[in-house]
Amino acid sequence: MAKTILKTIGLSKRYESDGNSVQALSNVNLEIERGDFVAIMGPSGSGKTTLLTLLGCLDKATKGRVLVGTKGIDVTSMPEGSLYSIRRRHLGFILQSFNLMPNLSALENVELPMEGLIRSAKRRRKRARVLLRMVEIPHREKHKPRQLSAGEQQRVAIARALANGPAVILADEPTGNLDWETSLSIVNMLSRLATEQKRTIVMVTHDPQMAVYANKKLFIRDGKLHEKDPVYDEALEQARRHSPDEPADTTPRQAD
Amino acid sequence: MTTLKRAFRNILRNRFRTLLVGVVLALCVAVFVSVLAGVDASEDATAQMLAEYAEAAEATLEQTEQSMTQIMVMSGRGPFSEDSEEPIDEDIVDEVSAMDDVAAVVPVVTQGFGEPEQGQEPGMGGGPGSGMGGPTVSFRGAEYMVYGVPLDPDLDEEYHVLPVSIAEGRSLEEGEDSAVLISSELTEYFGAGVGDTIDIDGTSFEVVGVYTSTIMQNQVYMSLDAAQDLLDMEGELSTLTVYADSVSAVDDVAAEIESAYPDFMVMAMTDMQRGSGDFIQRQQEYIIGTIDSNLASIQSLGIGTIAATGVVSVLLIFGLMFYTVRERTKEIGTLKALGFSNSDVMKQFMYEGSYIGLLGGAVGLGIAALAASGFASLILDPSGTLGTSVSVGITLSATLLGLGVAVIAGALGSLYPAWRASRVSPMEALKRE
Repeated sequence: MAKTILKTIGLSKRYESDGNSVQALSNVNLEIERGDFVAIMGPSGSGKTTLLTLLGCLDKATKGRVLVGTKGIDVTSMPEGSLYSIRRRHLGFILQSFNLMPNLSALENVELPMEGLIRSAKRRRKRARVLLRMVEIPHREKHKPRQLSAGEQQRVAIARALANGPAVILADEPTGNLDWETSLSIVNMLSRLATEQKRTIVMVTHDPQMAVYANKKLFIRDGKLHEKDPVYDEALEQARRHSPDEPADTTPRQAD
Repeated sequence: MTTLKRAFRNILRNRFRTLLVGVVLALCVAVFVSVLAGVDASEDATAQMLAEYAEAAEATLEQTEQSMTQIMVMSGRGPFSEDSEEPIDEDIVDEVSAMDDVAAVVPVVTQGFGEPEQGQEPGMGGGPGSGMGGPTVSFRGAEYMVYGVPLDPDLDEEYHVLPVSIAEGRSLEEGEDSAVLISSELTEYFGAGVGDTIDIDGTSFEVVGVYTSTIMQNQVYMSLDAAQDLLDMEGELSTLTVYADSVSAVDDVAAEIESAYPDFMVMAMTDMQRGSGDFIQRQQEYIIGTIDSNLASIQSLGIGTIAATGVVSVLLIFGLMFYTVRERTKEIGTLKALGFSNSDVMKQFMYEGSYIGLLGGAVGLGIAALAASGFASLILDPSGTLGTSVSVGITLSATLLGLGVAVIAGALGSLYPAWRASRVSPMEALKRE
């Protein structure tokens, strides 16, 4: 039986700025299981990224709880001083603009999150090489980000996200800056991580052609989470028909 | 890759900016170290100057105090009277020596030689090259004075019977009866120097030494016996210098000599020398005060400059690191998202600031090693006194201190920017460009 690895209970987030108040998320209840590849879709400003930041312990919810891991650690009340450890050990991030350190080589970028967890520099290097091989760019290990293509940079970012063997990978528009072909290879890679390595992938995207690769799809509109969305359902159906290798679909499930 | 190594690589990311800050920082460190070394050198030089001056002043005072025990005994009514040329019987030496509280007796035979030029008046002092300008004026019209004194090393050491400042050759030695010591002014007059022979009243003397003096410029020193032979004064003396045991005994000794030899003029030097002693003491206090005040000015200026360079260094690093943190906000957010703690981030930026401090410090020390004297003179002593009199060297302690201060300035300057960096939200990583 699959175990729940991420869970939100009545999660809400309100932003206050210059006297204006914006309800970014409202009462989101969600349960994600180990090995799930979840696509969160929604129009711009709907609250997709806000949900990702709360799941990734990057921001604090205004209301509700976030439970991380199979033991359901409540991170909502944790101080920032403890959250960094959760991020380092259990979560991996893949971002739209890759966010690689420009003065470090591909190999050094992958090694970066291991600092503090793996003491031996040799072991860090060895593991980084294995990961670069896994994302199929072992020949680029000495190259700086500016010497890599956008697709290669995102592969380095994926390898970096996997550095500490996290259970959950959170991807914020990972194909947003890539061409269609490269986007497909990246999404395929994420899909394989979920199916072959049983890692949980939560991907925020507005692109139905990428979302079809996820086995679960969730939709956000005006800060509220939905299992179905008339606009995106149709777009997904079309994308599925045109998809080169049609992925299996499973029904998204909202927590009770 | 360790945080230290990453920090080092980070400072090389914008080489021009790092170089610019590094150069200014290096100059600050160079000035800092140079001024520090300059103040040190000034203190050493002043201490040495004061020690030398104190030694000289002590010797002068000692000499003055000794002079205060001095009593002159002359025949007749004094040096300017006709009867002063009446000789004194040499037996007086033993008689006066036997008196109470008499420490020493120095018998002297003296006489002027040479003809004055026409129109000159007799008078005290002067002589060839007296430096007084105008026509040569000599004692009783003489061009030089023969001065016969006992060549007793112990007596000379204690009472400086012979001139102290020998410019060439040597002083007279015990038993030398055909040698003379002449003043540097008289070398021109006689046309003779050390090793030459001069003729005085038909007798030849070898010049063994040349002395310098500001007041005794026309003396030819020789042994008492030689002078008595030359002047045909066997068993006779011209004057007598008597030294009492102490200043308090001078008046009693003078009174005793006066009562024993009522025809002689007896002069105690106490009062005259006392005034001179007071003057020397006042002058010494004034000079020490001036030297101390000059050193205090240099020290204040040095401390001010050192503080200013320290503050400028800290501000420089602060500006650079503050700008760097603002520029790299997204990168810091990414580090936080990857699991870097606040202290990890803070440490990295502190290391970066300290590295720049270290590099600037090392270059600054190089500059200081080449131009320490120039910097120190320019800042501490623009008039050039220090530069010519004091050699400024960079010591190991100044090197370590300069390097330490540079690194501390780097760490201090980056403290607040690094703290700001540690407070950057990991949310910054997700901001779209």
